[in-house]
Amino acid sequence: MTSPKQTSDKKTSETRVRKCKFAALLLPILGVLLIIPPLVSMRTTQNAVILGIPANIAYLFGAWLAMIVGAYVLQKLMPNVLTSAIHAKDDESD
Amino acid sequence: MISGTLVFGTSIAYIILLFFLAYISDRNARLGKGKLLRSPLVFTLALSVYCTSWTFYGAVGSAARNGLEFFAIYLGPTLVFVGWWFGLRKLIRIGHKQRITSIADFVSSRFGKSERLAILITIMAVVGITPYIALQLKAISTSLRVILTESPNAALPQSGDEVGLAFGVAAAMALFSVMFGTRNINANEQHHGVVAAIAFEAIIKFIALIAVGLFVVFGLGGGFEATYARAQGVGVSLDASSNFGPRWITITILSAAAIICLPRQFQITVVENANENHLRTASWAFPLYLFGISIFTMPIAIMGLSLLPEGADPDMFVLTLPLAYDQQGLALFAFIGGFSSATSMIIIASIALSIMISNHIVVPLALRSPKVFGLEHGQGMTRLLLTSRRVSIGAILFLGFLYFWLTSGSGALAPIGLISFAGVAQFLPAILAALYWRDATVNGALAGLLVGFAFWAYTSFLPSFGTASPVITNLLLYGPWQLEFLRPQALFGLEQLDPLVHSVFWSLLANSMALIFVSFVTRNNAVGQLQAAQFVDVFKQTENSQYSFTRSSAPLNDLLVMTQRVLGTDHANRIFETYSNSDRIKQNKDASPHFIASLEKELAGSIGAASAHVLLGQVVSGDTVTLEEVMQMADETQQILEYSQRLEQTAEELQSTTRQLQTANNQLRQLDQQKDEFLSQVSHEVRTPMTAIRSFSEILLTNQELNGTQKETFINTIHEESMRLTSLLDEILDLNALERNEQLWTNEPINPNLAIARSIQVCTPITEQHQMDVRLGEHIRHVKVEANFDRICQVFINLISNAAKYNDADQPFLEITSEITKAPGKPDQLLIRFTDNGPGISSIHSSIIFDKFWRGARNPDTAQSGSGLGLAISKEILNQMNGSLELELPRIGNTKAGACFAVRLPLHM
Amino acid sequence: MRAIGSPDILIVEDEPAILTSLEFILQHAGWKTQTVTDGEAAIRAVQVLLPKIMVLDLMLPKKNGFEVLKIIRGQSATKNLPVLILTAKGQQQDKQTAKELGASGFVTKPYANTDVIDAVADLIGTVSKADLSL
Repeated sequence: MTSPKQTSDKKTSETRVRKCKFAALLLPILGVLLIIPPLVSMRTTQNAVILGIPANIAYLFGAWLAMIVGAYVLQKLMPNVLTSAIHAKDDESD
Repeated sequence: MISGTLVFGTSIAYIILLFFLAYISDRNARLGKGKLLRSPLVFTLALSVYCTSWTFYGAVGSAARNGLEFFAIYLGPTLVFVGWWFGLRKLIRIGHKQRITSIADFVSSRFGKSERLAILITIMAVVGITPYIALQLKAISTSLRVILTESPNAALPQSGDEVGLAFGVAAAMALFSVMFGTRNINANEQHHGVVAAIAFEAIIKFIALIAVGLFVVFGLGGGFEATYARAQGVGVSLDASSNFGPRWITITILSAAAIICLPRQFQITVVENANENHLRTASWAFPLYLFGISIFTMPIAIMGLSLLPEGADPDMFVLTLPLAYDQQGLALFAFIGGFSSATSMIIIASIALSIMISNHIVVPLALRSPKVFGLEHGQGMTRLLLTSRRVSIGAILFLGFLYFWLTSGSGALAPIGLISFAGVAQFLPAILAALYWRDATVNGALAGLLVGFAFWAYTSFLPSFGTASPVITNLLLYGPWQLEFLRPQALFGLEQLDPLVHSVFWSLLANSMALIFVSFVTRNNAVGQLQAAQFVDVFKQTENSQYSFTRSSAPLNDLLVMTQRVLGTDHANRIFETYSNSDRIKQNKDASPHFIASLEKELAGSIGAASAHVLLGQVVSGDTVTLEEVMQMADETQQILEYSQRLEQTAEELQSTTRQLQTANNQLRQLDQQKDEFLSQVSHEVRTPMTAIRSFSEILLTNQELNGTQKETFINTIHEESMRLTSLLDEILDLNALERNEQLWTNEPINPNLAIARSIQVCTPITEQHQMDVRLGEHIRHVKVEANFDRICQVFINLISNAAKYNDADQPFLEITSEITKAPGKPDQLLIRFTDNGPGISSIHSSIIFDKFWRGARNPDTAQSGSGLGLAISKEILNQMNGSLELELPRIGNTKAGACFAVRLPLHM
Repeated sequence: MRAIGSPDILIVEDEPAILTSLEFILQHAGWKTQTVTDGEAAIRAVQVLLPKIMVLDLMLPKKNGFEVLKIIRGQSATKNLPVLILTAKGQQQDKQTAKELGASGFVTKPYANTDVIDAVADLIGTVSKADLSL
């Protein structure tokens, strides 16, 4: 028997899973956009320096770090893969 | 000056340490200890086998020569790992489920366990990786020479001793890899010891590079800002326009492909992976490792260019910078770091390749001619596998050495690495198709790989020998047979493109196109279909949904003997004991299909799917599964998934069908009622003239004394009523035909004004009788409509005579006007209005006047009335002319409310 | 009380040919007739003329036969007037309705002339008897 509360909990977690999956898709896409032209080559002052590092390099490191942080947050939020493997039916085929 | 003894001694000590580490780890793993070994951290560190000596030394060289390009080498893998949920996770899941042993096994397994495919990929991988191994040899031998001679001019090949040194390094590496990788044959091709050693090496090379970086930036350069400030002066380009072009994107794509397709990466990521969840950590930790290892790349390049004498090899800055500033200890550490990067790559790559060679080339050959390979006796297979792997490792390193020798140190490190990347990137279309495209076929994969490989070999691999042979130089300059459009680096006239971009563009394009096209025109065999479903829908399958591959049976004993041959006696006995303990049918001497299927996977874990399939086929007898059965099995999962969806759909369809049926039923009932009414009406309409006819004939029959005039009147009435009866029946039939949409006439361009004139003329008697004035108002003079002259006259006559019959005004008139109407999206129409000053038609009647047998209040003087079908017929006639007949409200301004009938007819264009 | 010179039969029929034939055969049988061609005229005429009987068609302009019958049955002067219904529909239901509304006789078109004459004679006979009884 499923109490209404459990059902709603399940729904909430389903929503969360869906959001996580979407984020998982979004992250690499945003990553690609960040590191290809035009974004990557879009800086007005070529000689700008950020924290002692030239702007181009600082940008690349920044984008890179953003992806890493994104991935870290995502895998923290993402429901357990093994658990979902048991409920393989819920799982998404990509 | 660092002594040779110290360098060699440290190197050997380092290798011994690694070996010891591997040994301990293996033992712990076997004893079930060593939790750390199976931790996500070790997995992540092992992944850094991606960072070879190319990274360690070559990235700095690349930064010095090509600016920011080296970033792309790491951003590609970063993207793949950051997007782990959609690619790597599926890859690993399939790898676990299918007991995948290598990338060749993966692709072949997906495409019907095709042996040909496995062989092709193995050859491609060997050819593609050879330059890469040469690169490591070059890096080790060069770095060795640099650290021994302290000469920054390492780039200049000095003598044959460099080749000798490289050969020595290759031999040592071969020995090392054999010792590491082929001590035993594991069921799952997992080498815990090796992975542990690689993880350790990852730490060493990371720390070494960071140490050099810190020394260079803060010891020599005075901080990042000061270091970067020198960039301009040494000609390192940091601006966007020169860095982020097609080459940037190409390298990003290549490196993203490489992190999946490189055999050694596949080995670590998929084959050696102990737990799918390790990917979570790796998804951010591995990019972070790459991030860390590239922080100092550019500063070292800038400082090297700025501080070291002109002509110093940028690929060796990591080593030469500490040496130049008398940091021997740091230099030695850096050398060990570079040595680590190179050895880890060589070990894993050669192990991965040797597994492929033994599983996909040697074993299939051995299965064909067992005697030659000495397979008749017990342990034959295990020995064969070990031997073939050892020999393969030697051969692979020898090939690497050969490549190094032939290209004789011509190029820098990075371009060689990129050639390899482009080579293995040819696997990418096949892998993507394997993961996501169910309809990709084995022939499609073969064609794509062959074509891609051919393009790569011609546009990338061959030109790398440019300096080795004048023949190739000529080929590069003028094309084969002087055909310029076939020049390897400007194929089909695609000039002025970077050679790498050029090669990647053509090879991947041709590869994908061939894969797609051939897949469209060919189909998979039964096993292919089955495997396609297992791969593409891997997440849709539950743990228990293993397929029974075969309905066939095999004697347990035969299977045991065979398994012992492959896995060794102990392992085989364990498997069979578990089986006979768990299986309820102990007495049964034949193995169940389920067991055969799981055994096939177990064997596949050792010798690859294709070989396992062939091997089992030798022992397993009995029914072969029919194509239909297998296809059915393959579709089963999908069917179940689609079933519930279909159920819902069916329910909905059922409901809508019910609704439709109800509607239809109602319509039928209405029609039935209408039919009853119609019959009743017809009966009434027929009875009325019949009454007169009968009555008058009886009068004539019974009253002989009637005078002539009376007789004539009565006979005339009988005649008229008979005529009326006839025309009534004619009209009923006419209406019936019209309603059934029978084409009774053809529409043609006619002059409507002529038809109006004719109708007025025909109606003259009746209009005169009612003293009705028929006026022709404003009308379009020269116009043609699509209609039938006689039929349109019928309509007009009906309208005119109706107007006459029902007009009770003192001075009755009928006005006929016409105009052209244009409506958007509709053809232009001619609108003819018949407006009278009669009593009009009340709004309650306006909706029923076109019904059959409806009649207005007749003028009592009318001698003859119509059938009541006139308007209904007229409406049908106009419908069939694509026109219409409507009742309009009389135009404002008409003093007396009359009726206005609007006839619309399509204009003739 | 019937006026002197009032017709024996009021014929209500909109079909001219049928009207002519009815007029002929009923006159020929010896009755005085008066004709009207629509329902409203029939209601007016029956009040004024007070015929012995009424021959009523059902399909009529302005007011159909049933409506006419209903109205004249509601008025005291014509409450008991014999009404012979003529109908071309000939359906059982019409007959029933007519009877319920107080029709005295029912003839279906097309009829034999003698059917009408006999029916009218019957009805006039009843009237005569009623007259005698008064």
